[in-house]
Amino acid sequence: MDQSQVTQRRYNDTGRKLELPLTLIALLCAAITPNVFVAGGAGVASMSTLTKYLLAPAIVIQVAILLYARAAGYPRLFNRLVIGLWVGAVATTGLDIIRQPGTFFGYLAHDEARMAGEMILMTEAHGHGRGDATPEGKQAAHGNAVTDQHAGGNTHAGAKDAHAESKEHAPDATSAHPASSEMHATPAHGDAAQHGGVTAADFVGYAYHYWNGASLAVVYALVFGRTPWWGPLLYSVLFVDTGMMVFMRIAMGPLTWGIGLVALLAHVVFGLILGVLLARFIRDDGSILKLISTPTLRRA
Amino acid sequence: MTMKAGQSGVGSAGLVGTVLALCGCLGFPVVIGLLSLLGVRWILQPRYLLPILAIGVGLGLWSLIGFFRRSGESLPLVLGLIGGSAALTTEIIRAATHQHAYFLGYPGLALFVGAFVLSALIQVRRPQRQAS
Repeated sequence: MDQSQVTQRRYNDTGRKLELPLTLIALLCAAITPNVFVAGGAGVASMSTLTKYLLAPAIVIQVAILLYARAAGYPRLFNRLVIGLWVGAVATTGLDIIRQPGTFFGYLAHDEARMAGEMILMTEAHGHGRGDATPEGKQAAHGNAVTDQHAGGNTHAGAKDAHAESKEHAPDATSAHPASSEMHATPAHGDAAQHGGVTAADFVGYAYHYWNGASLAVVYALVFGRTPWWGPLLYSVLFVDTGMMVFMRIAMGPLTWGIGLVALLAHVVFGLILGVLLARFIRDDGSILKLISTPTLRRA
Repeated sequence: MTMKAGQSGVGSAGLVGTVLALCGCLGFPVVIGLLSLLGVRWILQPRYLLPILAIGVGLGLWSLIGFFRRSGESLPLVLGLIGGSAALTTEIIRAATHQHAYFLGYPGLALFVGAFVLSALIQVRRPQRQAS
């Protein structure tokens, strides 16, 4: 055995030892993202605290592992992390094609992304915790569906009323609040939110929303590797959607058919996009269990 | 070759139409100012903007389908489909509720433009790879 073979073997042994722990740590970091919202919504701790002490470090560690995997030559791990991140973000846009109309037309009680932003920034003026986050609770708290619509969470009747009011104020869509002035609105939960504009909570919330979608895709990619397109579809419907419904039932009260159907449809779209793109771009077959038995893919 | 050039022209028209229409829908000051200057600001009303956007997205997707048939690369088409759907949904929301779905519109715009950038990159890189 010459020197190069010894070196190669040493690299492979190190790689075998490191790829599995790195994968597990990355998996843990990715899994923290959705669970921060679950724990925050269920009242375990404030989402702001969880973000500061759990989510932010998890993001840093995940990015560090990604960079290390690239630099140290772990192509399988790097491929799964990078593909998972961007495919998850793209699939989140697909999910929003269903979710956002559901929010704007009043089938979903809350814009969950904005809600997450408000929870992270502690600007939830109306409270989104266990007790008053139900549609009924919000209505009771506001007593005015139009205000509810402006706050981002609306009921179906509220949407109609708000629509009528917004027409009154803006008969011509082009004369409605220009985006530029809304985009420059600085208060986290001030005038911009009242007029349906963009707030700091929106930016933070949607950043979290997209990172959440990306993390869910990373979890799938790290655990299952390359699978047929229907694998992520099943994962999205059976695991993500069911988990979300159970969480909402526990943390936010009764579910309606509208919420259930919109969420299901949104997750079907999410899963389909995830399935098509992950099947196309994840290079290696094999689940995380295969990492234990197969030779490492570390580049010498 | 003529077919390719024709499809490229249609794709460019679709891309420009979609970008301008969606920027108008999202309230980009430059687009609104430009249209005001030309005296056609009325075009920003959903009844006109929605069909323009639909035609733009349709032309863009037609061009991306052509690219997919020629190259076998599906990613630009997938991104274009998602971006175009997001763009149309943003305008439908505005038409129905007079509210701006910024966080659907901006990613949609990015994905639609990204699909064309990607297809152009693939077109540029493929002959280079074949040559090398």
